[in-house]
Amino acid sequence: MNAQLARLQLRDSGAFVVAEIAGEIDMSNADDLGRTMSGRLTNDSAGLIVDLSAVTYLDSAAIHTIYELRERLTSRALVLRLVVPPDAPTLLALRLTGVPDAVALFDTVAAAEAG
Amino acid sequence: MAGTRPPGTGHVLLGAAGLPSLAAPGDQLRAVYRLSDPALSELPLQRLLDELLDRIREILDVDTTAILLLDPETNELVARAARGIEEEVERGVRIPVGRGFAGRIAAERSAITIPDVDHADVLNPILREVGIRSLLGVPLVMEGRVVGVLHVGSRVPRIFSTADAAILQLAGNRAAPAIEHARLFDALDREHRSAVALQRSLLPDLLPDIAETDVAARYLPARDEVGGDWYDVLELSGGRVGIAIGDVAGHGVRAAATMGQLRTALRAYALEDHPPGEALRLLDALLQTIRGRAMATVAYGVLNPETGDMTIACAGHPPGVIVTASGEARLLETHRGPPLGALPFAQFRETPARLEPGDALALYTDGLIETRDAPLTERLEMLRAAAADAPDTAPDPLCDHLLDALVPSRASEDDVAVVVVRRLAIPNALRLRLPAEPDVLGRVRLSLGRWLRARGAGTEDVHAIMIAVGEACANAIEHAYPPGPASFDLEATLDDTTISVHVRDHGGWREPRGQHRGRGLALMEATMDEVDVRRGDNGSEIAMRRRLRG
Repeated sequence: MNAQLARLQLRDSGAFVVAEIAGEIDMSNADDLGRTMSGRLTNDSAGLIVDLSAVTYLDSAAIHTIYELRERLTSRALVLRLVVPPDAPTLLALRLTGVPDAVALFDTVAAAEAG
Repeated sequence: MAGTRPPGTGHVLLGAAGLPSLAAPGDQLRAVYRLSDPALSELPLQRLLDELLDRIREILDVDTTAILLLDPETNELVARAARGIEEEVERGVRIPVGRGFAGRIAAERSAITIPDVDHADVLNPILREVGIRSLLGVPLVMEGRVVGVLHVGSRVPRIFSTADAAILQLAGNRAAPAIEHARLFDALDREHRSAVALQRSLLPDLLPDIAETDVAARYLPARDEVGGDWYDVLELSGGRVGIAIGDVAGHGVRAAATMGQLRTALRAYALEDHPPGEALRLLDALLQTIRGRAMATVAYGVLNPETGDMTIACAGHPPGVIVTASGEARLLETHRGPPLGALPFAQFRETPARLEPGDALALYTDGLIETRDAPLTERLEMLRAAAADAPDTAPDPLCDHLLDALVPSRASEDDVAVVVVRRLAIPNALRLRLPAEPDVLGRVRLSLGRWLRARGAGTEDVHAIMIAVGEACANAIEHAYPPGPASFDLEATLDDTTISVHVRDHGGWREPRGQHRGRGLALMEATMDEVDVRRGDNGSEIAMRRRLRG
């Protein structure tokens, strides 16, 4: 009965998997989102671009998932890039937990693809 | 045929509807006529059969009696009632027509007697197991059709006489119409009940618990038939509420099945965020593809409980009623498109509407306003007056009030559905008791965000407080409980320009584990001016304050 908190769309773009998330991420869906995104990666992938532009809220469980993804990808020599526009409401929580120092942030998907 | 018959079997020469050629003793005959007792025809099928068998056993002085009814779909006889050989029913014995003792009676449509079971073609082992030595059976014939077999048995060898056969046939002839009547009634009743059950299963069993709204609904089945009415309440993205009501033209299982398809399709379109007019257009296009040219009326509205703004679209459905907190009622006149399935390329214009805090919207199907002797405008006025007369706008009592006023007998020719949604006022202090489950976090943010905005908090404040409260609630859910159902409390108040939030749980405190929770605490401290964590034996409390920046 609950309205879906978040929607996830995965697509391939060159060697990258691009994950567009819209909605809210919290402890009720963060793990599942993380697992689904990393599950899409193959040995041929260069990495994962997570587009958070349409995310209106994320909590510490989401941030935990971002750190986990980074670890999992780095160990396989894959890159993780986040797309967070400068006016995104999620930027506050990301900054407060040090994410910009650990994961590369881009304003747009195109910029993330270009690296 | 006679040549293939096994030894020990004899035909009694008697027409299916024949009368005894020998005069039966007077008391026997009187007893048989008792079988036509009108009271019997009022009994449900099983009791009728049991009663008949008892009487026959007494009249013919036999050890066993049994009735098998024809299942026309499989062309088998199914044991439905038995005396002295109850196993026959318990084991669900089925005898193909044409085979064995009972099967041949049905196939040949004539009485058969077996003086010596041991040497006869008897298919059913139970007859031998219970020690039956002799058998007599007759067909049950109704309007020229065999509907079953009635047989009696004796544990001592007995040669059933032509008179016995005649009496049994008479009993069978008397019984057949009553059995057929009861069976038909039973089948209809079963069909009705299963159709009602089907329809119930297609309606929501539990309405969603939606922040800042109250909802209730009622469904009354039609007296004799199954209808195609439905209602639905949906929790949409961003905390909006979808409310739908519909009525598929016609009755019966087919209408109910079409209703199920429409309800599901509307849910699917609604959850994809299609606005009401577009959702109805899609639903109309879908209905055009359903075989049998089904038609339906539907109203579908979307309410934003925070602002009270509503958008509604209507496909030939009667107007809803808005009941205000101050006790006024008015019909919600909308652009009315054609019923679904009526016209190609139908368009459904949306009508804006508004619910103030405490106002309720009632949608219903036409069964509610169905009184044959009054024109529609008068019936709608009756409904409006009944709504204005309601003691308040709480959805549950409002549903009951409308039904009491308009369908007082609770029995209607047509089925009736009513659904009511009320917009709640945002309270001065927010107090929520919530189940300690991760799924409630979205709901908390919805209610908290609305409450904060209503208290004048700006975007930045709302966002900061939402982060902190989310972490505090996640902490209560994740750490303070053993597995199993539990709850926690959230309280938010505004004092001058400072928001205070308390999150209390009722479990024993466990130290935050790992970096994950550590981040949670860091987030709370970074977004609030003060964070105070108190740990007690009966639970813990996180108290936080933030002065609004504007």
